[in-house]
Amino acid sequence: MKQFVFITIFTITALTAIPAQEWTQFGDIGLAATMSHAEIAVGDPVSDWFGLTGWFTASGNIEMDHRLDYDQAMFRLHHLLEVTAEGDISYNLYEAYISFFPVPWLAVDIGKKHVNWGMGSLFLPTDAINPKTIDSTDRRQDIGFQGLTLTFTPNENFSIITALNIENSLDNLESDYWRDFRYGLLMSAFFGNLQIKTSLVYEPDTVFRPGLAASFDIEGFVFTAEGAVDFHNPTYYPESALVWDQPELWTPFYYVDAGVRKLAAIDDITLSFAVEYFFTSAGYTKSEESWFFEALGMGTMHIPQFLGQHYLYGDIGMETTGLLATHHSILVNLQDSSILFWHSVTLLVIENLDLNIEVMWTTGSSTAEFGLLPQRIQITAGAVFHF
Amino acid sequence: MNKKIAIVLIFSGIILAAGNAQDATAFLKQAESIMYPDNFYLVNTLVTTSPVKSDTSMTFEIYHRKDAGTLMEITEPARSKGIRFLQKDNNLWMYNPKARSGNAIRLSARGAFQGSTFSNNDMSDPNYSDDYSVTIAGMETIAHPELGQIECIVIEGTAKTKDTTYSKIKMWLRKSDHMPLQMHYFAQSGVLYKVMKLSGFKQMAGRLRPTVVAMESLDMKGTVSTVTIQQMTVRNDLPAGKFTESALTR
Repeated sequence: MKQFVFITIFTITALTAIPAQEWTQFGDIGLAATMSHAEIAVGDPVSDWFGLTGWFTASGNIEMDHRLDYDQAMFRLHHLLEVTAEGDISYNLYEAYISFFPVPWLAVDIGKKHVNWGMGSLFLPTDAINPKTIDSTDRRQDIGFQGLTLTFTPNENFSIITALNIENSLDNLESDYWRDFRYGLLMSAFFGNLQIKTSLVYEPDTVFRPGLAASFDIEGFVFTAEGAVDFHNPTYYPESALVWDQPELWTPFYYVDAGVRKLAAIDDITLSFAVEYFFTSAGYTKSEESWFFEALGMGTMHIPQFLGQHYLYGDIGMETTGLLATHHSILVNLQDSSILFWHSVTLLVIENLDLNIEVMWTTGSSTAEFGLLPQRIQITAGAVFHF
Repeated sequence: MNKKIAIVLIFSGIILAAGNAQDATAFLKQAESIMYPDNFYLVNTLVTTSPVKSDTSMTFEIYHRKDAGTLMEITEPARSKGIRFLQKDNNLWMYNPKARSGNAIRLSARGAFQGSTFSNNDMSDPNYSDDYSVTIAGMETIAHPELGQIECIVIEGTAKTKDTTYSKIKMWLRKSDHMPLQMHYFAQSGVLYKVMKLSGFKQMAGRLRPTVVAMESLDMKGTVSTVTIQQMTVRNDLPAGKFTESALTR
């Protein structure tokens, strides 16, 4: 709380004091109540240990984005403060960085930020530069990295981004900290409606991942394809909180992603859909993972990861301007037929106030395919005020 | 003898047609330069009114550099504030900072813009001469709500490729100075489905320009989206790096 208040007051004071060319500031205040129920939690070790079959939580949050623009520089801060009904307070600094534009063809970004990488909707196989986390709904989320990026734009249709991620080194400054540096290189080029990106991410003894991505607009349908090969990688994609050592170094893992999306407007109704297929040769199968935990004497425990090798993601949305927005998403693990659904309905009739209900439902062919508590249903009602 | 006359007539026709196209292109380019400078920054408000729903209003900041692209940012209402769009040729990206992801989503430039009667391309690409082959269709006197009876040059344009938003456009330019006053837009089927009227002529960014652009949808009876330009400045110093995906998400 103190951190959020201090940083907010400091930023606003500093930005007010500086004669800004342009100062942008916006944010949200949100309130949410979540009811969750695990249908078949009986027998699941986590449920047994903690006696969890259902729970209710409520929280409030404030999220702010500040941006100060000059011709030759800019500053951006994006952060969130959350307070639960139990009194727990958490602070999350998404982005805080300074950008310099010393010459028209170069931008230098220093601080904590996200780098725009990859082309897919849900899966970005080429993106190993942005660290990931699994959020409360089991979805992968960028958390941003601390470091330096240089963006070269020699002409309007070609750009090169180099990134240095020092996130891991900050935890180990005593010796060989440089071995935890992660380096990224991304080149983007346009050929009419076709965009091609090539990328490479490297960290000593950890990651060596070259990748290639393309997107093309055909009659309003945007097709994307993305692939990467990872050598020397002890983790697997999507990233997990847990890490297993890979049996052999320099064994290549393949990641392929392809999808199509479309945004169509009919009168004042906007329709969107996206379909995406993802293949990964990395990771452990569910049975291998279960064996791992059984070997540790923990029983058949299932952890929140996207294990398996073939995934299908679909999303369909509809928004009536100033009235209603709905989204329906599905993520299928084709290997074990487990499915994660999200449904959300948002009322937009009140100016700058969203009233939202989201239902998340996990199901599958066996007891534990997605999520900490399998076969669960979770309903969240929320209100978000935009300012 | 008849053959010679026919050949002469054909060649004369070709030369006249070529001359007509050259004139039409020159007139269109002049009209484009009246509407917007090559490189600019502007602030505008987009209001959509409809007989069946409540009015909506949005304010934008727009940066444009010729041959590099257009960067737009929503500044009002608060619900959409910070959402940015980048257009390069027929490619469009959207970035929502509230999505907590560093990635911009690529969209098609053909769709309607934020529930209005304008297309994404209408809002972000101010030039027609790149996308349409034009000819002079004739002269016509129209009744303009602000200027009265005005004699106009009528220009017709057909799409050079299938990627363009409209199959055909028709533009009325004031004869005296080629000021654009009215436009008709035709769907791929050939049906007229949008009518644009320009008014609010004011001195802005160094010359007299239309500052109110109203687009009426003939599909949705009575639905009109109106862009009002509040501020416009010539910005020849905009770097190409401002019109990249990495700048969009910055």
